[in-house]
Amino acid sequence: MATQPASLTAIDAAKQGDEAAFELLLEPLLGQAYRLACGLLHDHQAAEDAVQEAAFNAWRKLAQLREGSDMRPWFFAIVANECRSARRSRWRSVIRAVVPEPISEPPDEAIVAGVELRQALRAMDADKRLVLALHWYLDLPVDEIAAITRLGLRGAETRLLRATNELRKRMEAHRGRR
Amino acid sequence: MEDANLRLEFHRALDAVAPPAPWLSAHVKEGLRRRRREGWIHRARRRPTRILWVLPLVAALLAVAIVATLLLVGHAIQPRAVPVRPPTHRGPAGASCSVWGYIPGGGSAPVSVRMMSATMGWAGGDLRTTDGGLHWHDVSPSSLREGAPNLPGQQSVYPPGYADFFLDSEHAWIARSYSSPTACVDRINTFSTADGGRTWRVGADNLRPSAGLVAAAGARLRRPSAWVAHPDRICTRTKRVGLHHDQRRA
Repeated sequence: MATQPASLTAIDAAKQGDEAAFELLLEPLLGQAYRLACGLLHDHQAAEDAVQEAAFNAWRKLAQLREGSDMRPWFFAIVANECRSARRSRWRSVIRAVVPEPISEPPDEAIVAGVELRQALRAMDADKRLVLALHWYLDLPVDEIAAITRLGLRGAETRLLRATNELRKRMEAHRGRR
Repeated sequence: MEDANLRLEFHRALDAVAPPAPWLSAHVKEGLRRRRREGWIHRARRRPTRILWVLPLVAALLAVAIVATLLLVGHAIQPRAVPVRPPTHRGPAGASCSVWGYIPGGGSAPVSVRMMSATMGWAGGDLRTTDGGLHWHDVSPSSLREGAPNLPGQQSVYPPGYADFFLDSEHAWIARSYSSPTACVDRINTFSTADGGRTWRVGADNLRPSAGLVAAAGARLRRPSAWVAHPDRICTRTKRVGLHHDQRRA
């Protein structure tokens, strides 16, 4: 993804300690970062916390952002790490992963499909869940997924393909049991 | 499942757990500002600088500690000389010879006591206590007193040229000289124990008359050892607690 010169200037300013410049850079990324966190955690409050923490960490580690790099993949990688930590540390996510989601009304086919997809995602490991969320939910291209996961283009493609196949198998298995 | 359907299902499934959060941007900014105000970020950013000067300091302290330890160990294994007592009476060759006596060396100095712990100690070379000095037991080898005159309280009589060194509660070395019709000190034998005096080994080699017992703090060596020094600078090191000796030229 091409980096705008204006953005580069803002990154330099933020690196120099310009807090307003950093907030300007961060603002357009927050919506997608929140969706990514929701896609990984399936809990909007935990997702908000993760984005908040990721923003703080991004400010602290801004000097590590390489010259000429785009901020979005770098920030999304921080968000993904934060979500991984949040999943490990929150007992709540463990409980939620075990308890089936309540469906009070007669289940709509689309709702049931959504529940199944989320359950299938939760059963997969974090790395696969990340590439699936980035590709199928945030609609990011593979080269940007490669930058976020630091896998390289071929590695990101392979992981995405395997994760997608695994997800499809899991969902078919769910549907077969219905 | 087609890619388009999968994408649609993803959006439906995950949008359900990602309600709009219009306040998010304001919350994140407010959180950042609050942390800046409270100094969290500045503290976190300063941490690497602090580590930069703490690490060399720790390294320097470690280096000093290592050097001090080496010096202490070097000092601890320095051999401590226990000279064979000088002769005190006139011998056949006109020299003064030491005599049997109640005090090591035949003089009037008090018997030395060396406590290895609060309860265990050695005294006078061959007396050993294990109850803090209430009772003392003579654990000396019988051959130490070979040729002793028939004096009252014979157990306290020490041979001429007596010397001792106690390393710990179990290891000890003692030496004595033997006279002949022509010399006050004809030869010197060493005795060693590694079991607190229950058994003693007698050095097989008769040392030169002028030898002196030199002992080292063998606890810090790989094997308890003692040295016998000679005036011509040949150092004799015990092997197997004194049974055999190496000869080394200093």
